[in-house]
Amino acid sequence: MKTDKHIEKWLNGTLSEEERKQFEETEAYKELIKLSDSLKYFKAPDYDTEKELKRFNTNKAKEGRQVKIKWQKTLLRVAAMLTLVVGSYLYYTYFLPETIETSIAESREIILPDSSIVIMNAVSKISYNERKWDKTRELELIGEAFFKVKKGSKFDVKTTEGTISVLGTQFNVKQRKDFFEVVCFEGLVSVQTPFENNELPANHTIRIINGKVFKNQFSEGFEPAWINNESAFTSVPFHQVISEFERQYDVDILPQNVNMDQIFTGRFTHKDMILALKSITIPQNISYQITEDRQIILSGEIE
Amino acid sequence: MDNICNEDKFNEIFRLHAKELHDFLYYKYGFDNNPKDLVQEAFLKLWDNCHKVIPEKARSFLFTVANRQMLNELSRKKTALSYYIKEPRKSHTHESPEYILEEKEYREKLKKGIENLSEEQRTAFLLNRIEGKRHQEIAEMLGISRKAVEKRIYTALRKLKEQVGKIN
Repeated sequence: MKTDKHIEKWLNGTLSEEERKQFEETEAYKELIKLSDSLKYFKAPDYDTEKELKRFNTNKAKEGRQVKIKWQKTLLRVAAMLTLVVGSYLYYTYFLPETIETSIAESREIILPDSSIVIMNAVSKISYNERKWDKTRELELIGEAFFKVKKGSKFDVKTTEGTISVLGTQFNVKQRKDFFEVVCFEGLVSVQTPFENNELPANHTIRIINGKVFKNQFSEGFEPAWINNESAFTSVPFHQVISEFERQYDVDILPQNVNMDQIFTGRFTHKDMILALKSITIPQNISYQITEDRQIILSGEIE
Repeated sequence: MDNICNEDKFNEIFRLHAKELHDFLYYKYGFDNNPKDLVQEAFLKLWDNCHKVIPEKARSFLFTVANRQMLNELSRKKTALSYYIKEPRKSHTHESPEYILEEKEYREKLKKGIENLSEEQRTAFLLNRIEGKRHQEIAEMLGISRKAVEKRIYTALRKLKEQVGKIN
């Protein structure tokens, strides 16, 4: 019994010095040592870790497990790419504004999310954010467009010259080089320029030419002439008429001895270039010549 | 970042645990049950689950899987456990043939004794006495308490002593 206790303590390494000496004298201890020593013959066979690792990697490849992992990696890459593509698509559709452009001789009707209508004249561009339209009815305009705005919250048209705000009305905005004009056909339009704030009632027009503001009243019409394929001008510098002509017909106009600042009142059609040319040259006493490469030379009378 | 699906990381884990797992399986189930192949199997399992197992849990995953796999193997084969006796080096030329024979008999008895131990006793005992694993380490490997390990080792020793009997 006492030996058993000693053996247990010996196994656990808790024999005291005295107990150890006493225990080492016994026959049981000698047996124990012999047994313990003989255990070395039962040691696990050598294990060559590197060799087994090599075998493991070969097995792994053979069973296609590596391929599976690589496939997963590929899948991850594809997923990442998809996320990127879908993400940027969403970004472009949701966060970047909708942009519509017209080219020379083109006019286009756009229906906005609230079913307000914009009719764009040639060489114009509008952009607006479709996603935010519910909260803010706001668009940017370069060029010329006629607006038929549904009644509702404030509707803003931003141009480089100023912002036009309305609640629901019909108006035309023409923003061209050195020329800015807003024509109100119905309701009340507010035109905010960096210099002043103007309230524009129906049948009134405001023009800013080279920084000078002109307000006028007109009696006829409920929509701009260009909607019906005509360009109409009332007391406009002649170079504006020429620029408009170039936007409606794909031609270059080369004036010679022509007073470009002369005031012009009249109109020209978008359907017949020769007729249109006559409409703007005859009243001004100008002769024209059409070259083969679509250039038109205007010659003024030499006085 | 510390993912064992990374090949280098996985090799590192193999080097760290393969030998110990092998020895454990050997002492537990003997030579006939191909502990080396079982180590391979266990690591393949780990590789398949590499994205689910964090490095710290790899070791216990391996031991658990190897254990379960071995038990399946055993129930299928129903083979008796057997251990391999390494022949001692013939260094002592002066030893008498009687002595050598006696020694051989002793080892055979010891072998039988080891094979007759319960798997639980054997694993704890051999890991401790041959591999010099501390009680605490064994407890962690087997998922039992340290006290239980001590008890198993002691019981195993007493059984072996009975088996080999008195030898002068």
